[in-house]
Amino acid sequence: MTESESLPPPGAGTPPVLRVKLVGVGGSACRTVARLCREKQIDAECVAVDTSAADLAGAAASGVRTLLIGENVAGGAGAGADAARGALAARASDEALRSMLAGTDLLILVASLGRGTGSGAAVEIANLAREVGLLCVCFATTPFSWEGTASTKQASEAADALQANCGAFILLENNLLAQTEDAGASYSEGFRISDRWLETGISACCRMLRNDAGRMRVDFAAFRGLFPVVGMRTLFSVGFGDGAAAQEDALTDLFRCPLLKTRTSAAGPSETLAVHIELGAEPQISFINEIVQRVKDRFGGESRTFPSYAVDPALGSRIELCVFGATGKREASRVVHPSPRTAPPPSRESGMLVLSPDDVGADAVPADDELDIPDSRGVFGSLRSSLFEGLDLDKPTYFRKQINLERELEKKKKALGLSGAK
Amino acid sequence: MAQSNISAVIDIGSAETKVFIVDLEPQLKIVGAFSAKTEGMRRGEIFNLGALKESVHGVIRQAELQAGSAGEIRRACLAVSGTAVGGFAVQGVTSVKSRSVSAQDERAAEKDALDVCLHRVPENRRIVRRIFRGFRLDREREIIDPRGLSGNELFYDMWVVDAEESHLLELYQIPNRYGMEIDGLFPASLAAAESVRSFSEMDKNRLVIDIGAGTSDFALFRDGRLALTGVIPVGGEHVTSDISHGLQIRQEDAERLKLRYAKAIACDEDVLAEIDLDTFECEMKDFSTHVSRYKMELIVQCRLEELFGLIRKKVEADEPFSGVVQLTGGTSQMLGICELAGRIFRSAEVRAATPNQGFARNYADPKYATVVGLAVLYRDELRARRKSAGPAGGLRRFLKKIIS
Repeated sequence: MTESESLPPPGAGTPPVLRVKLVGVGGSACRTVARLCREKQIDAECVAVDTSAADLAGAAASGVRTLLIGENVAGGAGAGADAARGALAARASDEALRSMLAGTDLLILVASLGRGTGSGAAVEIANLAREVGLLCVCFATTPFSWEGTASTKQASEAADALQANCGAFILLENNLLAQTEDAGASYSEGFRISDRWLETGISACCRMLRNDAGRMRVDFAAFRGLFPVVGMRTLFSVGFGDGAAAQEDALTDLFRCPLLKTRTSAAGPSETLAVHIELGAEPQISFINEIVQRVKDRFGGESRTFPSYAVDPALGSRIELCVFGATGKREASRVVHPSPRTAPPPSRESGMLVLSPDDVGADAVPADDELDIPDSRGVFGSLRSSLFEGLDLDKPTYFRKQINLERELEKKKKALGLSGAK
Repeated sequence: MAQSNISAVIDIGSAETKVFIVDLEPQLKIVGAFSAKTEGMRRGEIFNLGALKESVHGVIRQAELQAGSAGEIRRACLAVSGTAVGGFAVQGVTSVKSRSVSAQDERAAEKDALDVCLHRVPENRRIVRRIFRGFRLDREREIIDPRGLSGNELFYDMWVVDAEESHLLELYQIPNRYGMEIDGLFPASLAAAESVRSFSEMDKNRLVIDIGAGTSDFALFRDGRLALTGVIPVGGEHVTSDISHGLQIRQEDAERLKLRYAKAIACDEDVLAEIDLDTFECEMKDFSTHVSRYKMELIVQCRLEELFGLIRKKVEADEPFSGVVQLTGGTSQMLGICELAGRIFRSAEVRAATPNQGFARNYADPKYATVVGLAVLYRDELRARRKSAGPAGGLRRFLKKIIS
């Protein structure tokens, strides 16, 4: 072997830049993506996909790349809250969507379910991503219970389809907004909380994968390994803390995050975990150790835990925590995402890796043996949801009616003059 | 003991199966009884028929052993409940042939009602029971026996309970595979209502709510006559599931807390009260060692308020309800539940009712309401069949068909 053959050419050793695409589908999701792109430093290419030209104009003004789909189906006027029409629009723009996804390593899909484009087109895009072997992390919002049976049903069906086709699927139920301790009185404040969960999740996804000034990060292959098969239940939680007790507060917030209660969230401890910490100053080793240990005690990560952190001086004394993992084989199908830039896969079928049950080790698909964290349908989670007069009665009433138990207790204490009493 | 009079009466609930082996003649008598956890069923829906069969067969076997008649019982009567069960009102009409109503007019009105009923039942559903509600003359007067009265048109009012055919077929398989013929089938709501019926309330407006584990069955009687029946897919398990969700504890821990502490109305005196989870050996999910009693009560109140609200909506769809409310089923024992029901139904007469049939005095527990009532209804049906020399109804024909 000659020297010239053994040495790589100059620049060949530089690791390729990870290409992350943040795609918003549907009016509300496009607005969210546009705002994130405008206000936050999201290290991803932002794209807004919609059937409504008017909604896209707003996103374009924020500097987001826009893609109008199904012009011949919807005429640029929206899908009319019809998921079938949204799906048709996406299929009509199949080529444009494929070229939009080309060259991407990680797709972060944001979908607003319940309406036409979000419910219909998002599912089609997730299907496409799966077809080309792209890891897709999907954040989806669902409508409030009072938005009507049709919206709820459409959102529920879309959520099932998305979960079945995405590596990670995080459901942000609007009904959850009432369960946050700092759920404000105003409607818009409630949505700010939802946006904050979304922001933290997306930002953590991007930042944990970036090589940030030599700090601890998660390798993309390791991140991909968190979600070995599509259709698993995703463990996703965020926590915030500030001030002297920031660490403790952030951990408590993380463990009590309402996102752990959604029907698609993880049902038990995850074998593998990614823990991302954002803070204002360089942390001590003991600080990271303690947080990671506490997170492991709560969420698992027995097989592997990947910690990462990023420093943002603007955070000051604030700490933000984010955890990703996956569990449960009930919904999982035996299809994994191939790594586009790693060794060629053993077998290929339309860009997907199809594994035999033996190919996926026990570590990859942890047993769904215990309902550790109750989801919103509780023990009825395994039954088909039956809407009774438009209500999913298997979900807790207080949850559907957005009654915040903590706040009700505080209100009662105040009314009885017992505020502050233990 | 004449074996021909011995039958099994079976109530397959979402949480528990209860079986009575009864001697029907000369007087109704329980000769064997057993109850145990049901497997394979939740919210009245069968999700694992094999497991369900096995668990129910186990209960039948034990009840038979108690009765000393293992493997000898050939007839069974079943209660049917769950979301697969529905109901609707039917009215038949005929012109009165002569000046006063005759037996022929009655039969003509009944036949018309039957025709209407058969037309209204979709292909995938079967009639479980038709219940005569009364006659009306010229739409005005409600009459039980119109014979000899004057009028132009005679109406026959009927309440029909139907159920999904697939659910019935699955249900029938259970006693069939045990070697029993299904001889009677009744809606659980009617059975529960029968078991708590008292002489003094026979002519009153009465609403009976049987809160089971997975569903709540209700039956409304106006002036002593059945007005409607229904099922709401909410039961005690939903209360437990809500507590588990709200307090972030396991379902089995939530069940224990519910049985020990739950109240149907959140009480001011419990605002500061906490439950020490360590004493219950609960597995905590977020490092809490105590949970608020007030929060738990609030969770329960929300659920039960909604349940009663849904029933009230059904009951008052046509006209307001005022009368006695009787609660049965395990959840009816919860503290404060009668007060809460009283608020929702605006009734001062709400009570947790226990089966008051003399033959079942050892089973005077609300959780036995359905199976006790089922035994009574079955005995009455057999007597009626004997009297009328047994004209086989649609249901019996259907049963025979599927058994064959």
